[in-house]
Amino acid sequence: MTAIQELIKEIKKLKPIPAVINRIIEAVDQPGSSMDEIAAIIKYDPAVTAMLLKTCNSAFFGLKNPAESVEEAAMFLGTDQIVELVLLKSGAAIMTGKQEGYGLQEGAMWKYAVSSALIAKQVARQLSMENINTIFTAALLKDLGKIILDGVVADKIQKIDQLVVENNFSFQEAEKQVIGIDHAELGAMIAKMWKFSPRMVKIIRNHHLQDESMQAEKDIIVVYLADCICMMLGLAVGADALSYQFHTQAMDALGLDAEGVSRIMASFTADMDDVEALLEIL
Amino acid sequence: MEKNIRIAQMQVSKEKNDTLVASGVGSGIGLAVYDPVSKVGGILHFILPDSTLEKGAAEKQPLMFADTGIPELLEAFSALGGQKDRIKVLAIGGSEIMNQSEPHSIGKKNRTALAKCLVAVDIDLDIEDMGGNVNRSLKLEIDTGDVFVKTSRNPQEVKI
Repeated sequence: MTAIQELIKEIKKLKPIPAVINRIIEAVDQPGSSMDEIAAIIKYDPAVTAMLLKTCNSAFFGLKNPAESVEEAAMFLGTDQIVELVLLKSGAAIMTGKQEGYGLQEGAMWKYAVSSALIAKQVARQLSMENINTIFTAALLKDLGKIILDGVVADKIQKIDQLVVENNFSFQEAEKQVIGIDHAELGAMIAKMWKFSPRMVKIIRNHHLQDESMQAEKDIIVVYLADCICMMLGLAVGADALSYQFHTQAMDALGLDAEGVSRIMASFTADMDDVEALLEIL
Repeated sequence: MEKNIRIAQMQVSKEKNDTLVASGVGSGIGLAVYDPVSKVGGILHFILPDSTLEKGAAEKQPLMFADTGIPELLEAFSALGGQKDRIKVLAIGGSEIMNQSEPHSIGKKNRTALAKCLVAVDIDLDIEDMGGNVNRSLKLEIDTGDVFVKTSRNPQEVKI
């Protein structure tokens, strides 16, 4: 069995995200689907509903009266917000562990994922994009591949680092060279096996914009930019650190100059207390 | 007591049991100051060079920017008894993503802003470990003034 076949076998051992989450992700991908339809999907899953109500009724949201149904939670917080909470909670179930190969302590990958998702959402809103929930979810789950690749990266980190330091490879290029597959490619495989939409798979596959032909696709660029901002802010960054390629032309495609990117960093950082509080309840 | 300094925050102390830690310094800069006589020390972790960029954010969190954060750090350092003529200054960070060239190179802009702010108050930078594509962490022990740095590429902390 090849190393890649071994990794694919590992994917099958991962606890997949619940089917209801997949249905929500599918629904948020559909341009015509309403938030009410999505709320209806949530309400028919008792476990997800219970988790959602517990989270909505935590001190973080400061509701005067506790929400007792999905409808009430949607009324108090907005359907957009409850969908986001469900997605975050489902992500937490698979991404809160430690990834020692990547130098990530327990919870670090999760903090990075949530921060990326919140930044991507902020940028998507600023640019008045339509598929905000898809962008949010893709940014949240883009590093899924690291969970599987972690053990191999731990064994090969010296070779990977050597290529990064001596040959100017990006960390992703070095993963591909040393292991035969990189975390974005593997993440896309997981997303495909879990039956995510082709769009979501494509964003996850290309979130480092390694393929130049992707540098005109705005939703992919937004997820890429969110990742770059997390690297620059040093938010729970691991062994790969800032060892990825920066693509100025992608910023141009979004119509963002250097000041525009700095403003997004400033505005996210100004709300950092809220982000930390949100992480506490997830 | 270990005190963690998040992005856009600072801590100053003269408690001998305190250790100040700024983890995860990327393009921002972790700036440490220490007076070996009064044993007052502080760390600021700023992330952007210039507060005129975003007035609202600068009002809410002045420590986010070099030009507003550094004066606040020095003021707090003096208020605890730190003296400018004995100050030791160390900076880490200012990293960049690969090929993040002008005008997008925020790490470089932060390094330039740091130099400019220190010149303005006539303070020298004694030790620095800046630039590259790595992420760094900084630890300052208040009692001894010892400083330790670790990087994403070398997770063993090194006393500098």
